Amino acid sequence: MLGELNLHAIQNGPIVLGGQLTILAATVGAVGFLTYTKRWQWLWKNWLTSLDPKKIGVMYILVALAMLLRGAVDALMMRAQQATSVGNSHGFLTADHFQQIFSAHGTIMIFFVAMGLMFGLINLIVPLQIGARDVAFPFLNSLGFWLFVAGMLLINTSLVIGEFSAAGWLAYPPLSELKYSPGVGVDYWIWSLQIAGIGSLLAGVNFIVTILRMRCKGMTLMKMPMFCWSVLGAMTLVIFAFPILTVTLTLLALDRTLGMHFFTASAST
Amino acid sequence: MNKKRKYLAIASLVTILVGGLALFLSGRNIAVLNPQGTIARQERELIIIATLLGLLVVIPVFIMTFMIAWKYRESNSSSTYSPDWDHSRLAESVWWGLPCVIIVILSVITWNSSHALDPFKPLQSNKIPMTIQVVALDWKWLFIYPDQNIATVNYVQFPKETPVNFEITADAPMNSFWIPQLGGQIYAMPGMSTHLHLMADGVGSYSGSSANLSGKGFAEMRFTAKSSTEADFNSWAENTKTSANKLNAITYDSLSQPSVNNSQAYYSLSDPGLYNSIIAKYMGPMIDGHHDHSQYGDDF
Repeated sequence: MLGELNLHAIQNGPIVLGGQLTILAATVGAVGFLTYTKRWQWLWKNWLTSLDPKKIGVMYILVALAMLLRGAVDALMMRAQQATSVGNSHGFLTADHFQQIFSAHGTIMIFFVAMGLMFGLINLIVPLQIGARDVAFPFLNSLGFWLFVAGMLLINTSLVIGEFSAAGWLAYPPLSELKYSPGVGVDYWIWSLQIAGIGSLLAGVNFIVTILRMRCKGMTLMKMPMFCWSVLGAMTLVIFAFPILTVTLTLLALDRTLGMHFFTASAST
Repeated sequence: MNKKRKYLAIASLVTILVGGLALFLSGRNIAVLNPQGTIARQERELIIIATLLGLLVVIPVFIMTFMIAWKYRESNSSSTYSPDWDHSRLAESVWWGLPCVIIVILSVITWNSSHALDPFKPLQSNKIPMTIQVVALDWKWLFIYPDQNIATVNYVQFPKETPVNFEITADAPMNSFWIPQLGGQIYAMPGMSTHLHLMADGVGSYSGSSANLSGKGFAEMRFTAKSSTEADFNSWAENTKTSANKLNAITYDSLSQPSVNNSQAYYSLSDPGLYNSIIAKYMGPMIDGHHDHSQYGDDF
C-alpha cells in the first residue's frame, strides 16, 4: 500500500543523479555556512519562528525563487529534449522521464513559484497598505507558510527518492489511477499539493479577515489601494477553489491507497 | 523630438512588429488556420473575429502606454501638471464602455456558435452520413466501420463532402480525438460514447493527433485522416474487407494491449457490435435492469 523503499528508488540514471547531487551540495553548503558563521540560533529565532508578516513574506519569496530555479531547469530540459528529438533521433530523455519533468514543471511553477511569489508579496504589502500591525491570525500565517514549505520539500524529495508523477500537472484520472500509474509518482503529486494546498487555504482565510477587519481608522473599503482589492478578489477565489482541490485529491488518494473507485472509470480495475 | 518624427518612430515600430509576425507565420502550416472542412472553416472565423475584437482593446492600450509614459516624463515641461485631477467622464465611459460592448458582441457570437457548431449536432447535407466508431487505445487509434464491416488502426478514410458521424470512446486512459484541419477536439473516455460530426471539403490527407496526455506512448499516438472521392473510398473499403486480418473479440484483446509507435493496420470486422461491447466492459452489472443496453451510443 505504501510502496517499498530500497536502493533502486534512488538509482535513476545520470540526469537525476545530477539533480540529487545539486540538492545534496546545496544542503551541505547551507548547513556548513550556518555552522561556520554560528547563525543557527539567529536563523531559528529571527526567521524560522518569526510571526512577522514581512519576514514570512521574504521567506515565501526566497522559497519561490529557489523553485523558479528548479522550474527553469525543467523547462530547459524539456526544450533541449524537443530540439534533440527531431526525425530519427530520440533525444536524451525517455518518454516517461520527459512526462515526469513536464508534470513537475507545471506543478512547481504554479503551486510553488506563482503562489509563493503571490503570498510573499501579499504578506509584505497588504498589512502595510491597510495600516495593520500584523495579519489577523499571525500564527496561522506562519503555519500556512510552513505547510507550503513541507509541500515543496515533498515534491523535491521525489527527485531524490523514487520518481515523480508522469500523468501531467493536472493528473487526470484514470491515467493517474493505480492501474495506469502504479509507481509512487502520483502519490508525491497528491500529497505535496494537498499539504501546500491546506497552507494556501489558511492563508486565504487569513488575508480575507485581515482586509475586512484590520484596516486602520479611515481606511474604508472604497479608499483601499487597488492591490488590496486584487488580493481580496484573489483570496475569495482561493477559499472557493482550494476546498474542492482538497476533496478531489483526497478522493484520488483513497482510490490509490485504499482501492476505492471514485475516478477509476470501471468498478473492476 | 518634433511631432513628425514621433509619429514616424511609432509607425516604424508598428511596421516592425507586424512585419516580424508576418515573417514568423509565413511558410508555416498552422493547421487550425488552414481549414479543409466545413466545421474547421467556421471555427477559424471565430478565432479571427475573437482576436480582432481583442485587438481593439489591446492595440490602443499598448500604444497609449508608451505615449502616456513619454508625454508625462519628468523632463517634459510643456504638458500640463494636474496633481488633483482624478476623474474624467469621457475616459471612464471609454474604458468601461468599449470592453462592455465587446463582451456583449462576443457573448452573442459565443451563444450562437456554441449551438451552431455543437460537435454532437449532425451536419446538414443531401448526402447520407456515414458512421465511424473511434476507440482510443494504449497508444493507438482504432477506427471501426460498422456499416462497411472493416476496421483500421492509426488510419481513417472517408469520402469527401459527406458528413462523417464519429462515435468516440476509449479503452485506455482518457484521450482526445483531434483532426485540426477538419474541426475541434472531442474527449474519448472509457465507458461512454461522445460524438463528433465533421465533413471534408475535398480530397486530401490530414494529420490527426491525441490532444490529451495518456501516458508513455502518447507522443507517437498519431493517425492519418484521408478524405477521398466516393469511388476511391468504396473500392478501398471493399479491398480492406477481403483482408486476412480479422478483428473479433480475441484479436481485439491482443490489439488493445499497450504498445508504442504502431504502424497503420487494416482489418475485416467479424463483430459489428464490438464498439458497444468495448463500452459495456466499463459498465458495472445493472442489477435493477432499468438500463437499456441498446442505448449506449446516445447516453451522453
